[in-house]
Amino acid sequence: MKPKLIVGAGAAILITLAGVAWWLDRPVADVRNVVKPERVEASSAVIYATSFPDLAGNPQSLGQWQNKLLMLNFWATWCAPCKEEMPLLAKLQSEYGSKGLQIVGIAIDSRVNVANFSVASPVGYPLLPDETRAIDFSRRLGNRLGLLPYTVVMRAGGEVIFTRMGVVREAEMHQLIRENLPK
Amino acid sequence: MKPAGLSACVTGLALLLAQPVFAALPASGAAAAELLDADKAFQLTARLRDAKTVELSYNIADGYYMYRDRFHFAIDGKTVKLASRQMPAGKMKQDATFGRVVTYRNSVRILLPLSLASIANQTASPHQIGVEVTSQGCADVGVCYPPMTQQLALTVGSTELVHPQGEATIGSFSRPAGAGRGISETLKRGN
Repeated sequence: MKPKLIVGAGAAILITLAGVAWWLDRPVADVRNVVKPERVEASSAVIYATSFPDLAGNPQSLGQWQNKLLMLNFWATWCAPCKEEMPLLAKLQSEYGSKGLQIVGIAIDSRVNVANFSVASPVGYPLLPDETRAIDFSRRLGNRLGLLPYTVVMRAGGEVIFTRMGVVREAEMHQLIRENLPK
Repeated sequence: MKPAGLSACVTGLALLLAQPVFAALPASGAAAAELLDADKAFQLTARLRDAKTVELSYNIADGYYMYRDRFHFAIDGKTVKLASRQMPAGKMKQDATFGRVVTYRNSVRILLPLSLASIANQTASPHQIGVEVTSQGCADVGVCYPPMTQQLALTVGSTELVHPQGEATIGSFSRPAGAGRGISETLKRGN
């Protein structure tokens, strides 16, 4: 075989391999690259004045947790990625709850669905179902499209320090929580 | 230049050239741009296929999917029973939380039979048949849209495609048929 032919064939193979390698190593589709939460328009006063019913139907004001590092997690039983991240949230609540973290799961869902879920998969933090107002509330917290899951973290006192469309990552949550727990 | 040296040069050049070539390939739908509004990701049209059948068609954007068991239909205010609607088999998906679920991608066509009452009402002319559709889907990037309820009005005697009327509203699978109307929350913010 002529050297030129060998070089040509080798180059063709290498181009293909390099392309395949790049294709496999390209950035994985990640919601963080696709949609960024928008500005949080609701003030801390508005957030703390907002209430959602608990599983017994009793209104629970978010203001009761204003001295905590408050993590609002918008979710639903029909949302697979939401349910995937809930064991992590339960773990965070268990680990940091006594140190000032309070996670609240606001469900865009029916009370019966959420009650059934909480029995099957207890999470150790309040689950507040509201099918009608919760999505609009999440929009006021930067979730324009009303997508789930959506998470907002507020320091004690009401400063919003974190918003995330899609599931949260464990390592960054540990760091975020440790750095912002109330003194 | 010796073949070995030439080969090394060609290899380097190949590596440089390969990336733009492969970069030109289409990326996975939802990752390629901003996420779409729900009614753009899951585009619905409907028509009267014949005097007894409503045909619904979804054009599903690349990178998005809909759940087969997350549809609810009502015609003239009455829920269409599960057994009577005709939906394609779809694709089985192993879901970490829901187990095996059936999803639709790209497009889906659904046939709904008109009730005897709706058929009887067609004698009044011009008559419109109200169709309410609740659906729910997700994007591959790991987010889900809330259930979306849309209203369509089909004119008896016409087989023309129609689009949903007004804005989609937040749907619910626990509210009765017709309850989607009047819900203040809309899927489009600020419109």
